[in-house]
Amino acid sequence: MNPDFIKLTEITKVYPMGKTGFPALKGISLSIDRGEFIAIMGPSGSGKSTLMNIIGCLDSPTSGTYLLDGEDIGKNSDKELTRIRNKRIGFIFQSFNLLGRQSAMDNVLLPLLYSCTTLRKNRKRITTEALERVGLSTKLRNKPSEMSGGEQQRVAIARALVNNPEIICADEPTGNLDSQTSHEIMEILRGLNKKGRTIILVTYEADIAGYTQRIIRMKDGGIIKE
Amino acid sequence: MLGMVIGVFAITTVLSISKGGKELILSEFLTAGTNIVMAFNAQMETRTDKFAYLTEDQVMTMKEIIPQVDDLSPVHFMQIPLKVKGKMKQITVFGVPENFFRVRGIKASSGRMFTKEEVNRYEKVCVVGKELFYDLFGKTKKLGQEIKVEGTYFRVIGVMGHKMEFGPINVNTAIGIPSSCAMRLLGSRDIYAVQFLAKEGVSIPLLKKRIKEHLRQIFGGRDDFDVHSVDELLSMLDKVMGIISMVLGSIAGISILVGGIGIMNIMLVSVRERTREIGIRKACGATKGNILLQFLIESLILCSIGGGMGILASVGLVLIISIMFKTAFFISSLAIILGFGFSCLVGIFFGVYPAYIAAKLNPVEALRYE
Ligand SMILES: Nc1ncnc2c1ncn2[C@@H]1O[C@H](COP(=O)(O)OP(=O)(O)OP(=O)(O)O)[C@@H](O)[C@H]1O
Ligand SMILES: [Mg+2]
Repeated sequence: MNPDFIKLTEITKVYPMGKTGFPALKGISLSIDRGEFIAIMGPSGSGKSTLMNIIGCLDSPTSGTYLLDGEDIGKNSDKELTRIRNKRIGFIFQSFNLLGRQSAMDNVLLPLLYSCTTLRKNRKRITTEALERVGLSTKLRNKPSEMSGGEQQRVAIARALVNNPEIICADEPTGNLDSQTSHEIMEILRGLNKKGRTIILVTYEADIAGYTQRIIRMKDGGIIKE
Repeated sequence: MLGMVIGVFAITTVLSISKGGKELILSEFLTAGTNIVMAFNAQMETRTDKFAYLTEDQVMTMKEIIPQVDDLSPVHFMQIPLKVKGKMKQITVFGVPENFFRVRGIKASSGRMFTKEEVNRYEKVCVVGKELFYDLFGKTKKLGQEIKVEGTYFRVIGVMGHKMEFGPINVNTAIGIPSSCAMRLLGSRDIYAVQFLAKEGVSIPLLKKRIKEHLRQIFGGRDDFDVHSVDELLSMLDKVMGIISMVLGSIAGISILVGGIGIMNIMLVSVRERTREIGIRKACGATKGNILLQFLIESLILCSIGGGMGILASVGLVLIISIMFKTAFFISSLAIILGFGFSCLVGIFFGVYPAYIAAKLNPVEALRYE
């Protein structure tokens, strides 16, 4: 077994901007073990989301290597990155990012639709179970506009869970919620971590970061403190 | 979208009319066969002796002289004034032997045609074209009324079924009487028109040539008679159809182009409006192919709706045409399939670009999009 589940070495990201481009990440090296619950903190514009997107295979680094479970992600094609996103990674965003015109069920179904491995007749059961796990068994048919922010974020968590991913990337999941709801969401995430999932969390709030085992602080595209 | 509707409408209509219409006209002639040739004096309008004519003997010997002729019937003409729907009208009366109807493929839509005996006995009976019969007697199917022709009353014994107009007579609006009676009324045995039936397997152009040559001989080298055949009429019809098809076809082409570009625009706007949705789908594991397919299907649906509306409009128009011309409904299924297929093709063609744009969106940027 490879001890380093996620291993980033000298990762840089330069956004195309102006003549030279904007360096959002300036050589990040970081290792995360399987089953860790880790928080990334730092001021706005420090590159937290950029780093998160690279870990989540939504974006690829300008240079550096990213080993996920020993596999060099940089060598993968777009199609393989998509497959990894679908099977191994679940995303939770600050703005929930649900499909507004579809019900909770249909939103949660989305990753299953694209994975193509789940039998049609099992889909309903699996999505219902995922929504039950986040305590939304009574709101299966509700549209996002018919739910509170906390409920919407729980739908997003259910969607992130439904394909049973190893990693959950949560970019400021509590940024749009009051503190009461934030703690409910964090309890759910902690529960998921207890069941062995690796969770990477971006947040500003110290008490939210308190739920995690390790905190990484970033500034100007670099890690300043672990 | 409107362009799509118009375009597919035009395509389906063109195909229906040119294919279905031609089939209909062909079937109209098929009962008579396309093997009829008509020779007639083109200057003839009224009964007068100034024009070239044929004698009975000359006509009858043509059957022996020209081997390609199976059967023939001389036709006598006159115009009579008749009160139709309250208005005086000039109506064509043609005098023919009984075989005329068989040669021409005319069947009685009610009653019967006259017989050889009736011709021989100078029986005062007549058959009336369908349209004229309706105009004269209304919808009553009752036969037995009498029509006054040149002071003599003729009893209606049958209605001639619908036939395409061909040569100097339109049987739909004419009255047919036994040739014997016609000659007596006209006071002359001059023949201004002859209808020929070609033998099975004989080339019609050849027969026409033989008849023409023979008539030229009779009239001392002059072409006093015109010789026409049904297939000529068909080729003329083909030409007219061709022109209609071309005009409608170019309308179709332009509207489909405009419609297609419209659809592309709609799709581009839709892709922009749904950028965030695309980002979400990609984050959930949608591949480029998934997104491409999703937007292609959407543009396909848009185009099919447009196409479907166009087809409906076309079916409606063809239905109206068929009612107006009292013909059978002749929308062709091929036209519908082609029209629909074409709209789908346009949907794919003009949908590819927007779908491609959607598919290659960067997920991170798409998610950030407001
Ligand atoms: N697509 C882009 N093009 C150009 N610059 C970008 C792009 N995306 C991000 N940046 C810049 O990169 C830097 C890091 O962005 P990032 O979103 O990672 O910051 P963050 O730490 O997540 O900030 P916040 O806490 O406000 O979400 C910022 O200065 C931002 O302006
Ligand atoms: Mg951010």
